[in-house]
Amino acid sequence: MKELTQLNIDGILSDEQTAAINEHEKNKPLSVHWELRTLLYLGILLFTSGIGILFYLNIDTIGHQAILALIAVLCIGSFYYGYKNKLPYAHEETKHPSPFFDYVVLLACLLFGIFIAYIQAQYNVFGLHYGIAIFFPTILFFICGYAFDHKGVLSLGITGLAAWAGLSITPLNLLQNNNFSDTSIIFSCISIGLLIAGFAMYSDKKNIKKHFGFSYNNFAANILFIATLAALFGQPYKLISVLFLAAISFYYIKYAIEQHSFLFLLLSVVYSYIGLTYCIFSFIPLNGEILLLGFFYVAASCAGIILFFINYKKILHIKK
Amino acid sequence: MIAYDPSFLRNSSIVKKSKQWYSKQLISPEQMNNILKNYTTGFYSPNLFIKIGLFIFTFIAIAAAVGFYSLFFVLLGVNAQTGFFVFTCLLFSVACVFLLEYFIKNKKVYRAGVDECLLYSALGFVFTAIGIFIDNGFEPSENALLFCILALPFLIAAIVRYADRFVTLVLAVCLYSIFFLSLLKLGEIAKLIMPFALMIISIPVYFFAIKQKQKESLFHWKKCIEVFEWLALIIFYLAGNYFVIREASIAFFDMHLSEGENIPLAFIFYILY
Repeated sequence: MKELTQLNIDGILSDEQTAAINEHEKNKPLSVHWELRTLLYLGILLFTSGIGILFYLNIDTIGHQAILALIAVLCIGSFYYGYKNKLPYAHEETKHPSPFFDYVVLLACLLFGIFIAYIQAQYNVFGLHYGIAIFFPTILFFICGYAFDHKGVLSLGITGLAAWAGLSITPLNLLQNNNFSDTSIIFSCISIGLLIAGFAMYSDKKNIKKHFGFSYNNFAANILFIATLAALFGQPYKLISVLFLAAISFYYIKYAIEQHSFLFLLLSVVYSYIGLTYCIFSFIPLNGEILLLGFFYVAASCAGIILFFINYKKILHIKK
Repeated sequence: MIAYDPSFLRNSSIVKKSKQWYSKQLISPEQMNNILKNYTTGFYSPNLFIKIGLFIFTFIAIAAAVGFYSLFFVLLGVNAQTGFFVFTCLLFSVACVFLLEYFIKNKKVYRAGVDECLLYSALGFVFTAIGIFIDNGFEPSENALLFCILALPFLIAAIVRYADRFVTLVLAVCLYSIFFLSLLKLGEIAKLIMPFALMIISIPVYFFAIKQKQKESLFHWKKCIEVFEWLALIIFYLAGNYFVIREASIAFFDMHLSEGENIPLAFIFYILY
């Protein structure tokens, strides 16, 4: 307990207090909170995958209808629980006292999604109209997200919206699976991104569920930046893309400063750096001595960005 | 010894402890304010996301510097030899360490992404140099053993100076590898006793770590010693796990086991569980 003696010597803590704290340190219970949480999480994960495998191996004796019925019953049960225990709607953030509640709502929504996916995969209910199959859960997710004040369900809804508009997104998936060379995909991405960002700005102004802003903007920023970069790399409209990229980085850097959000600062800086570097290298021919200059530019600009991160509070005039 | 300002480190630990006591209401708000005012740290250790950004950009900058340097020699038409590569790696390693010292001294960075990236790069360059230097001169296991032994002093020096947890993990793995590879020299018997040897060696490592952790003189390296503590526990568990041993025997010792076939000495594990 070197810290304690130091404080005592420096005259900040009295002798009685030091003794009391010493007593507390000696007798305080050892926290196993995270260990238990991890075990619980692992247990749930293993249990559900075990159930899944069990069903999968015995599907011929159980039958699809039985599984669908089971999912439906669980889903309705969870929704009923959520509806019974729900807090009245408010524009502000409402925190449910029970930690159980959030999980049940999430489970209900996920089960509904699984239910729709299952009947579509097995019985092809919606035929080739995949849009409708995605549309129903999306609407439900948005309603539930607002009614139960649940960020996770809202994220599901945003994902569904984007999928409905013709792509499947989570930031990682967007990078791995989607081909961005097509103009129509880029345009739909940009319009969805603008729509989401605009809606986030609108609800922020009207003070409706302000804390959802992060979820909305996180999706919007990633999709807007990636689509714009794709347009810059693969399409002939270079100048417009550059201007648009500059505009969204300006918007999100401003947003980052307002919200004190370092994530958005990082996103804007990284994405605009990629765009800027692309521009510079597309203007100079890459051979011999000039490439040397290129390496010099990369090293120097990275050093510049590091200095920016270290001193950004001074540069952007943030007091805190 | 330690590169970071010791009084800052001490202050930050005092503030951290005080916040715990404050949340338990053992300290009054005025006292807490007093503590926050008196025990300041001048460290720059930013938010996690900024840290990630700094790490990435430091890494790109180092890569670009290497590219700049090598392209320069390519353009000059230098016919590179092994010695040149080793020299280059060591040169960059020294440069990284110099930059690291500069940043710690003048910019007061502490776990800020920049310092970690520079440290890992410096070590990476040294390891590459060692790898080129050894150049597969011996048997594979001998090469690995030689590599671990040559890397050891650099790892220890890095931990003594910068007390980094990830480097400590690498050091611990390196030490265990040395133990593993030198025990292999015993021949066939080594393959049978390996699990028990790893379990037995983990016991003193664990108790030694627990004892060293209490020492006031090793205050700055407490977190590093904890790495040894939990790694010893994990190795102790894994070395005694039948599934791990079975798969590891197939992977490392070229044992050909068909499905359901037991490894030698399997009955001991059945009795143990």
